[in-house]
Amino acid sequence: MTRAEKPHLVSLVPAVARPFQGAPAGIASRVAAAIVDMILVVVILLAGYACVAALMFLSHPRSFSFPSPPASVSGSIASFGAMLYLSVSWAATGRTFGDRLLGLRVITRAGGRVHTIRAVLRAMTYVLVPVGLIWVPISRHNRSIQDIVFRTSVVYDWE
Amino acid sequence: MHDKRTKRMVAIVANSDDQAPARTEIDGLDLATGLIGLVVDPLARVARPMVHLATPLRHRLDRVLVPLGERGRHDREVLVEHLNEVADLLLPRVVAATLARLDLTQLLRDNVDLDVLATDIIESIDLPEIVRVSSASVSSETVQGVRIQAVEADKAIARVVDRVLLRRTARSPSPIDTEVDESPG
Repeated sequence: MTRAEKPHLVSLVPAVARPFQGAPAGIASRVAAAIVDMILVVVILLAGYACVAALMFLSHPRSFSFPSPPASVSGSIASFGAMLYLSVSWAATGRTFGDRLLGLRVITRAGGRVHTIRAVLRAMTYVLVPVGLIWVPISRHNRSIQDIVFRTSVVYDWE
Repeated sequence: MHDKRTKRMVAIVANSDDQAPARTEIDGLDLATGLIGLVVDPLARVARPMVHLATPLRHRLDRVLVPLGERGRHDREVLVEHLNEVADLLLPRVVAATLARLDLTQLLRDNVDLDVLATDIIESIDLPEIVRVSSASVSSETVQGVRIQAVEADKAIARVVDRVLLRRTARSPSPIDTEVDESPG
């Protein structure tokens, strides 16, 4: 194929990011993205709590008091919310809001998008055992324990 | 043998030094200059009267040649002016007539590899970067800064861990690997 016949692909990646575009992301970026996601989930849960409280107030204004579910219930709801958010984000676009902000993307070892079941299982393990990220700086391929189990990678993707 | 000769030469030099009254050092350059002067002086002495003889002749020639040169320069300027007028009058008509008879687009298509030219231009100007820079907002610049800092932190942490684990080879630059080994070392 001559040069003239070759299709001209225009890269959308900024010049500064081209050297490491597609390379496995390190622990700092991933933890930063996780913190952003955590804050976002907390905000969403608080907004949900406020909505529930408002509905309760509207239905029984006189006997209203702020709902105070037991720790196990609120913990379960928070975990479920985080899991739902992570799995939907990974399965739909390959990146959460935190990933987008930090320029990261979750991919399979083959380089494709993570499918729903794998995304759900990965999200569950991240919510239950977030310390799996500790393996990232130790791994030669910057993989967390979850990445090794579910055969995924997190790469820099600034597109 | 050599020692005897050396001693004799030292003795001669010593004697000559004693006898010579304050002999000055002679430099090679000075010597050469003196020789040149020796040759040039007679020549100059011969040439000087000839120059004196030629001077009135030169003045006489100047009186003829200078006005001639000035007239020539004036004529040349007038000629150039006329030629410019003619060129201004003719060239646009000639070019217009030529262009009217040529299909420039077809000529370009036939003789220029436009794909290669266009690719070269696009590659050289880095169009996406220009679009990005021109449309980049302050927030996206901030995001880019945060990302860069995160990448730098990633590298720094990886370096420290690699040093602690005494790794000699670099980390894998690609997420797609053929290895199964996930051992830390």
